[in-house]
Amino acid sequence: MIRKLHWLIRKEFLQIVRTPVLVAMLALCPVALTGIVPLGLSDDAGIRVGVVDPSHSPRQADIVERLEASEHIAAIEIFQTVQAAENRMDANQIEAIVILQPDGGEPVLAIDGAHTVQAFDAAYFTVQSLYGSDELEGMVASVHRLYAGGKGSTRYYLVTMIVFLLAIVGCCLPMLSVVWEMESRRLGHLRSTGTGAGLYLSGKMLFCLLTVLVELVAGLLIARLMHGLTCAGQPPALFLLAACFVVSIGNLGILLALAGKTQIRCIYLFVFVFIILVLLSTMFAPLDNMSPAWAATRFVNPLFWMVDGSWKVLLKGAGTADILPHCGVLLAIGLVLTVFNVRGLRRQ
Amino acid sequence: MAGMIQRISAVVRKEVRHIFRDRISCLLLFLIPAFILILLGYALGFEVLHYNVKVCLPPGEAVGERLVERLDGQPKLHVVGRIDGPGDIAQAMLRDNTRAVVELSDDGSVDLWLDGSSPLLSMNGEVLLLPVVADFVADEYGISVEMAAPKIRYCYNPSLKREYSSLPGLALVAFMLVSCVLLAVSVNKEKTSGTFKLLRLTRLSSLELVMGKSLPYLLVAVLHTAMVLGVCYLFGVPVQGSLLLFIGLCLLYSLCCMALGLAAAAWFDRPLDLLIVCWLFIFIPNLMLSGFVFPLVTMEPSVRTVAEFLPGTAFLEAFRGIAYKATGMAENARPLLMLAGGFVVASVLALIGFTRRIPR
Repeated sequence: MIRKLHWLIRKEFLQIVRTPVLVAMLALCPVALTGIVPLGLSDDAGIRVGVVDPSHSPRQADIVERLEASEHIAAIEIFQTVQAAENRMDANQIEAIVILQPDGGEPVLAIDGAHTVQAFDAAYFTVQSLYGSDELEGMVASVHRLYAGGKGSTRYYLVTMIVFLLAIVGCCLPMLSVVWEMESRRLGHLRSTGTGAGLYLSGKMLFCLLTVLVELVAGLLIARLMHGLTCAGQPPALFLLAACFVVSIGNLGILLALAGKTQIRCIYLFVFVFIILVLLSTMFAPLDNMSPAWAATRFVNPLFWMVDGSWKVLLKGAGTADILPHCGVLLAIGLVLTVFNVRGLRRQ
Repeated sequence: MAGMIQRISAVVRKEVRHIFRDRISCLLLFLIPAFILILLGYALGFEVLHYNVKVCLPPGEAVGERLVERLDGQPKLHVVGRIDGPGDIAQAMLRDNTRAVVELSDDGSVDLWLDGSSPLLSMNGEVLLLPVVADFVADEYGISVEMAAPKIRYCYNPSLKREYSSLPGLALVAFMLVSCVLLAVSVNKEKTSGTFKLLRLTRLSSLELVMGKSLPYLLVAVLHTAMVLGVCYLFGVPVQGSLLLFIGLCLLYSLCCMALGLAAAAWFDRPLDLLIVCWLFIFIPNLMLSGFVFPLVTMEPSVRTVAEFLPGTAFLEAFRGIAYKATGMAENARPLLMLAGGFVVASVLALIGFTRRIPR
């Protein structure tokens, strides 16, 4: 049995090596997803603010000085009229307008609300720079941020990108391999050698596991070298989580291959299923932003358990014990999918 | 000219039959955009709906109960449990979905512990919790703190509706998937099955063939544009600017995506190669760097320069401009020209690819 498995893994390896595009994909994916895409992230909000002061009050200089002192304000422009400033906002040249009152009252902030995340950033950092909320926080309550060391947004989304990488490789690789063997009738030949459905699946999953672990190492290395991401928790816990993730996502890929039967149909199905899983996985919109019904879909979404566990291990310092529930759910999803796949393969 | 139209319409008829014959492609062409726009429009948002908080209170003090009541009374805050001491704070955030711990000491001082791993959520937590705690401290201990509260007016989206953020991005994804990826896969299917070579043996030129293949997808794009408009009204996000300009934008973006898909299909023969190109070089950059997930202003200048050339970025900029800011052609000239330029460049690449790689 072990000898057969060994030959099956060797066959998978040779199939990959003989397909240069797949080798290129495996090499390019970590570079693109954990190296290049995160370059689009930074922790500076980069807000451009317009200050409207028709009366040229002495307060203007004070306001501008406060805004200039903030690392999150990228540029400040002075306007004579609100209309002129709003025209600049219409043209996406500024994100916030501070309108000074002629009677010396509290200024009014006009924020570009067309992009809500950006609007929230603009309101938060403009108010913070104008009113010095750090001092105020100290008077009301002491605010402590846990796990926020280093570059917050970049680290958070870097972990997301690593999981995205594992999901693409873990799902695509077995899916393309199985569908190619089905289309070229190699699957039938293999089955006629006495290779059972279980053994065939085990060979595929083991090879997929090895590849995903190599991709994980590559992703972590690139993230470390290019963006300074370090693992706050136990790295073995992350590898354990990734192994459990492969069981579910790899089986999902095989299920898509068995359902699609041809490469074209598989790609259609993959696009449809994968986009939904990614968008509902809390990778980009947190669980706290979803209504309870939508949030409940996470229980059957392997990407959620992987990304949630990875955030915990990489950013919060979680150990193996903390991610055991995640591993359990991933294995359970994988087990259910395996049963479907074994049945599907026996019918082939 | 009449002969050209006749030949193109024959290819169009063939393509329509192809689409309706394959149930899966037919379903996906209409199901994907509907699902993404309507259902995910409800599911996704960038506004916090429920923020889980745990409390750490001094034992046996009624003041702690009043703090819990005060926190639970807020619509977005949920007190999900209590912890015994500050030593349990990190574990509370590790084990479940706890985002913040409010610690009340014996001397009445309050400490807020926020999960800073997600900067956006910790900022939300601070904004949600600080005013409640300030009110509580003022009521309980008579320490009134002047909270700086400037008047904030959100232009174009006064109530900061979550759909304003997700809708343009979901439209971007839907158009990109159908007009680019599915068209590219369909053309590739013709290439791999040899139909394309057979068609090239007829009097059809590359241009006629490409136009014939693309026109049914353009009709599908018109349907999707109507769907986007319908979803805008369904979510209460009506188009503020010119409706004609908005429809023109959706169709121009769809044309640009189709040209990109055709160019990819022209130069790459195997489905696997095409899948990798479509995902790695077209879909993911447009999803991640277009300003849908991360605002453009937060990007490094070098990456931002690249991002500004993406069709997705131009589409989002013009979508927000026309639909939310009611701006016209002049203000949106740059993104519209970018899309038109992208369409021309990709079309030329596609035509060269088809002519060279599939000769008569």
